[in-house]
Amino acid sequence: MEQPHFDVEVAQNRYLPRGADTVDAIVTVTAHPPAQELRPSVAVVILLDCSASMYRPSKLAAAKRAAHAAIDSLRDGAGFAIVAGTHEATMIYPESSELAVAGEATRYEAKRAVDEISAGGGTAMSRWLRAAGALFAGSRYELRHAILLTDGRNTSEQPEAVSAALTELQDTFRCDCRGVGTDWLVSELRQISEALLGTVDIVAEPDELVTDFAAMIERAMRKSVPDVTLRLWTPKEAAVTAVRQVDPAVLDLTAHQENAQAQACDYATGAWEFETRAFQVRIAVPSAGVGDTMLACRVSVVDAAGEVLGRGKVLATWTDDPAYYGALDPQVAHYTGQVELATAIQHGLDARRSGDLDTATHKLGRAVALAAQSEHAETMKLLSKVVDVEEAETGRVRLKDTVDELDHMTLDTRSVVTTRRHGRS
Amino acid sequence: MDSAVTTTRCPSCGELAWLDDVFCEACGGRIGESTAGAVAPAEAPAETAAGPSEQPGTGPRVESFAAEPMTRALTQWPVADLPTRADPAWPIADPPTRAIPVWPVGESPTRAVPGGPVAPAAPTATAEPAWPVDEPAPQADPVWPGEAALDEAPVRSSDARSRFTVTPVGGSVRDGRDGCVHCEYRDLDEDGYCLRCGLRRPTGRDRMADDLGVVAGVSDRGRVRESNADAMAFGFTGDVAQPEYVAAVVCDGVGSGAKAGQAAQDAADAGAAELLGCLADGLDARKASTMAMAAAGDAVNALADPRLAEEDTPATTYVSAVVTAAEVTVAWLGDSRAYWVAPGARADAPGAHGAPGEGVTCLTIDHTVRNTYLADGMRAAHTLTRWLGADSDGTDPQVSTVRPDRAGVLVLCTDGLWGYLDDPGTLAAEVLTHASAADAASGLVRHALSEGGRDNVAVIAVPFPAGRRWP
Ligand SMILES: [Zn+2]
Ligand SMILES: [Zn+2]
Repeated sequence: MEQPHFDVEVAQNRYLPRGADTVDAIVTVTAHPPAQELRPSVAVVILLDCSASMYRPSKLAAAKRAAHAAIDSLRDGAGFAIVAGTHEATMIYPESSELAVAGEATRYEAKRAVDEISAGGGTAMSRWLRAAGALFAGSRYELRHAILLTDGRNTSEQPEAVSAALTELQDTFRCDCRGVGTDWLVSELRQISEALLGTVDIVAEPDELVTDFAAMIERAMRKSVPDVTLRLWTPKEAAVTAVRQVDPAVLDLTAHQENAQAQACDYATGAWEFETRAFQVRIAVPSAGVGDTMLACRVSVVDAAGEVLGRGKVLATWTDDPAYYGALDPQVAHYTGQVELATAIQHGLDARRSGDLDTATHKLGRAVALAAQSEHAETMKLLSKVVDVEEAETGRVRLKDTVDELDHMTLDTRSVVTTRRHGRS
Repeated sequence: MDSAVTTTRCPSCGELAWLDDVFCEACGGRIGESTAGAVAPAEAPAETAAGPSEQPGTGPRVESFAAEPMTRALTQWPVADLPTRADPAWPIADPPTRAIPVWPVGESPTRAVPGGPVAPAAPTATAEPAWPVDEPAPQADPVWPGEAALDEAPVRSSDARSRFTVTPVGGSVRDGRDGCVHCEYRDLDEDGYCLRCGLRRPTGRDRMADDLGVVAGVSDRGRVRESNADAMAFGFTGDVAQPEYVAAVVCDGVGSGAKAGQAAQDAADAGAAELLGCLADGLDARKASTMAMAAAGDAVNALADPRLAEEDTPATTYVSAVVTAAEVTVAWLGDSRAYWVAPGARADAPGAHGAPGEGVTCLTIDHTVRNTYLADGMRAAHTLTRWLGADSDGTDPQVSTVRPDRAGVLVLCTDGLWGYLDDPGTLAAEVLTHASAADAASGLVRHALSEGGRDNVAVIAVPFPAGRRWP
């Protein structure tokens, strides 16, 4: 079968001053479809929070409508299942613990089953995740996608239960998390989405769930290349010290290292549609002589079968000429700023919540300056609901006296969403 | 139809690879030469003791010339007297007309050598001539055969005219076919990056190495300079199993930039070819050495361009050696050196002077302002007073012949090496830990690099007597 191919572009300043031993690069990867359309088989498991807190009619009704929309968006032949999540996981559809195949009849039956759901019980997310894992494990679908919807905290179990489940399930399926209202914890869902290479977002109004769910399923259906891995080769005395996805959102992949060998390790990036993502790679290298050039990292994009679909090289050349090593690559600078922006927001919000207002002002001010610099209008808009901006460029801000919890959580959730570099300076 | 996804499999381990890949990412084996199979990285490096003529498939790194008889008429010989150790014109007393910074470069042009062996030291009590502390005793030392060697007619073996072997013109450029020069790993990727240390193979003259068994040399750009302005050329007459003469030339281009490297390489190539040609023709070593230096001078002057500023005109140092079964003849201009090393040298015996027997002895005296001034009891900068090429006011080489009383190793080198020899015992200790000329030369270059590699470095090692692989 013909394969997609991946363009790998490396942005970096390859020139380092004498003695320098850190190489930074932004690796931009774009997936291109092959001539023939690829249709890897896909399965979706929807994990619906049905704990007692969902009892409020508006919430449960909205969740049911969202599930309907999701089911309607499934293409024929896709595997699917609906699981009710409480202090345990219960199959809603199909009744047996295996995936149904989407079709006219199963979609109808599934929606009827969703209509029967009632709320009650606690919240034990690790059980929901394990249920999804079991459903996928017993199947042969190439693309495995879960959607977790909750409105509350994971109260029925210790946090370690989730951590243990995630360690076990990491990279076996993707999970997008959605929190309704403001009673859930951003950190809890972020932990899940980061481990399972998905997204996390807040849904302010239950009614918004419908479009969001349909969009998520459609996006899942568009994924064409399952299990794409970034393989980073480094020289013997060198080591990859950080790997982050920085576009479309900040996602630390350092923990997603697998197949570590003496000089190469793989980083799972999940399934791809025909899209562009950027990664920040930092490598510690032994410093070489002035005038020497080193292949600091060889980046290969590898599919599940081990086929190399694209590759690029990160280089390092040592020089005594400040005109060379002094130049900052704009791409590297931009995404470094975006990572700092996300961190500043999260630290600032944490500080604000814990009452450390000086730190909160400082961090959120820094975030405002970075957002202004990178013309990140979305984030700037969200920031301005938490702080009064006096001078954006310098980051002079004042904390608002009262902040809507929804605004706080929305800024936190979306802090990781980056913007691409605008124009050229 | 999408050429970007044309993959193949490693014939060795089955790993997928690009068709245009040279080496497998997984096992490092060679791809695309399925008949040859993969080369296990653990295999020994390609260089072996086998002579170059025995491995034509590995690429010719040495050119052999079926010699036409050299036709240079004797009347073309320079008739000027050779300078001798007793020559009153030496050391040169005149102030230098051209101050050439040789160490370190990029800073003030006439500074003294920092911390090196020729860092200004208190002149010895002997005022005339004054010797740097690590250099040999005065050349009037009676143990040195000097002119005596000239009295013997050169021995001409029957096949001396038939051929000589010399390193390739332009330098023994390493092309990566024999692995990484930085870490010795065998496999490089398609762009020449080492699959172990990641460093790119040096390009052009950045790294040169050659091994003829009876003589071997290594030159390296160093770890600071942008290009290599050192050069070397060497070879032997007759058969490698029993060469009559082994000859070697090391040059250090003056200044920086491409011109300096070209001047040095052209001088070394022209000098070595002339030296070996003259020797194969039956000229004695001293005359051949002078002839060769004249040819090297011509080669450097051919690069001269009247449009160039004076400091950009090509110039180079030069040191040559002719080694036979019985004696060693060195000729030089500038501050590139020849050392004699023999087993028994002790690293803790710095400056062990005396006869070229046991120990380490520097056979040359730098032509530098410092040496000139030292003769007058003054401290001065390490600045060349003589060189080869444009504006040289003293192209007459200094020639010295010694007759060692035991087997040993002759080492020719540029200041890129000797600048790092705190005392000559270091040189002896390094040389004697090895067991071949090639290992000794690369060991010395590695020493210079590990000490900082502030300058280009070139080192040739010639075991004595000629034809020995190691003393
Ligand atoms: Zn292989
Ligand atoms: Zn290497």
